[in-house]
Amino acid sequence: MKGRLFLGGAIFALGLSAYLAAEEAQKPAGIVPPPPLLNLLQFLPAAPDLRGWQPKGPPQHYRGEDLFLYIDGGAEIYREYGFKQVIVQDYRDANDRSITLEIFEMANAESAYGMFSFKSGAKGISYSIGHDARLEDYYLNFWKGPLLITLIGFDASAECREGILRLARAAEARIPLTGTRPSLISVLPKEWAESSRMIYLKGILGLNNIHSFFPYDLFRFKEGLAAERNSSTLFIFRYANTEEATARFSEVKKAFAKSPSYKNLKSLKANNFESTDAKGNILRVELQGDRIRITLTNTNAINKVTMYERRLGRPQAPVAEGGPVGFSDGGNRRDWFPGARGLRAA
Amino acid sequence: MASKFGRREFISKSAKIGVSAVLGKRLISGLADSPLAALAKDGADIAVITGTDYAAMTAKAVELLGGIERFVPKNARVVLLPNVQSKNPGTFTKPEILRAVIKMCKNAGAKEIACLSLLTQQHWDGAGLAQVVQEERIVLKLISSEAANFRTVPIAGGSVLTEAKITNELYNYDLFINMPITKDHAGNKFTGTMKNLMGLNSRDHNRANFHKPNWTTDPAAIEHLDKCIADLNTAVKPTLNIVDATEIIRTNGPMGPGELIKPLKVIAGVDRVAIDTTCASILGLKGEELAQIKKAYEKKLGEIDLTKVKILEVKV
Repeated sequence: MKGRLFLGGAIFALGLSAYLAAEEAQKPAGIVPPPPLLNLLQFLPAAPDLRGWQPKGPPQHYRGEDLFLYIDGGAEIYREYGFKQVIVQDYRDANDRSITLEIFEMANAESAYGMFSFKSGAKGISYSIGHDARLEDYYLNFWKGPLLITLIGFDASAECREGILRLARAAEARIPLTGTRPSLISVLPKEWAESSRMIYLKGILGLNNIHSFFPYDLFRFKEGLAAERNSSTLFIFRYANTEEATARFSEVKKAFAKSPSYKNLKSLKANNFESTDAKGNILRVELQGDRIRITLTNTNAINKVTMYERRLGRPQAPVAEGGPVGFSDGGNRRDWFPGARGLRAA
Repeated sequence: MASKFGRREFISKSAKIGVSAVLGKRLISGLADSPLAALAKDGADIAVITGTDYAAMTAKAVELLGGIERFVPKNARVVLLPNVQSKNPGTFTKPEILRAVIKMCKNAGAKEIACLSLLTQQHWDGAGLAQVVQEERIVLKLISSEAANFRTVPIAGGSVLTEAKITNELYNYDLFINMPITKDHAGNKFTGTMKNLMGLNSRDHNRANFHKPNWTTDPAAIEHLDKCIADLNTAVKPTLNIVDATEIIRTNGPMGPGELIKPLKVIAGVDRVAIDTTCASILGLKGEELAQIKKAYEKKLGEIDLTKVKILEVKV
């Protein structure tokens, strides 16, 4: 009996060794395994830092493609920026107010900054939490190292906002990681450096949320920036090297020349050209070393929209609070849907 | 005047539930006496109601379409599909609107009313909708992801989909009221009546077929999603659509948190393309520029040209 067991064990061990050797042989040489994921649990605020806020239920944890289970329908943008994992913890106070804390581990600090810049609004208040923090009405985003942290309050009450700030500072204190903003920001011209809003881009989905130039991925950049100043938006797309940027610039110029959406193409020099789009925006496209730079200037006063509108691809402002629907001046005029068979009632 | 977020209003109101119930009954029975009742005779194609009393707005919207009886016959079994994707403000259908629809269905003599969801109890609790379901004593059917819970529905002439995987439960009811919240979507820019129907299709099927492998985010992948949405809408047709456009996010959708705007509107109708075109305008978008709406129009699912649609706007 013992002999049979020994023989069986030996056969199993041999088989396992052969299997592992075959697995190893199939791995391409030089492939470095991905770094291990951070233990996000260690960054969750806990007593005594909570001061009146208590965790409610266990934290939820989603990795990789499972983000779909948490953000059904909205996960793609996180993936574009290099999402790795997220931990979510709810907190409650004695009055049953809730705050949800999300800690996203992104691919690196640049990705965390990028997602921070994408999610943060222009209207928020900056706080000295992490590397950058912005508090909007009822939520706060900050980033530190490769982490993006979002805290969402039940409402915009003073108690919730205070709780958000308290929990944010408690989380920050537990994060010993550091990171720097993407180096691409340093190439931003001085006059653009203090833009009202700046978004770091890692792909076409982020770009299309700001401005859709073409219905396909024409620019194929490695990384990008969008910054707004007055009625202009500056886009900078960076490539692996000058050769790649030059080749891409040539493709971009051809696409502008062929597209019915753009008119009045004028080549100013070999490395730049101008064009206008259907909405009256003037676009100046320039090749600068390993970068393509586009300045989009809105000269049409009627079509003067903020970067938010462009970011969302919106031709007009959204409807005003309680205002009528329509396309006139953001919903404030009464002549909505000209020609509609509406039976408007008072 | 509604407080800042619907969820808070809901909780404060639910503490006075007795009062709410009485008000609700008066509201419904009072519709026949409305000075606008005459207009309802020929009915609007789309009703756009502005105000701060979301329950009253919902009731008024249905009244202007011809009344709930036009859609819910006596003894009907009714299934409702609100959006409970996230508990963040401006991302889920307001509890007040769900409660108003339930009350209308009850008053019309519905035999059975249920809410369907492919999401979890936690989603329903977080949005405050579970409390409405409980207090109104209707059924909440949470559908788990097992393949056996879904039936294959062929899509003839689909642009990209050849079939949908619709929850079996839907077919246990006589009629279906679609109750989305309209909001931003970081992918295809817009969520409305048609996108909400993904809430009836198996999540596994959504994930494997509506979204491209490896989560590619190029425009072709986004257009693919829009085509899938249009295709899906050929497989299921809601009896009625009631859209929450009261307090909605215009950035970081569909989950949020994002910038809240307050159009303070409830929009109702049958034509999904026309309703979504109307809702898109609230977000500053044009229907013809949104692939899901354009594709649905091309499939003759509704009218994209709002000059051909009878729209009635009322303030309550």
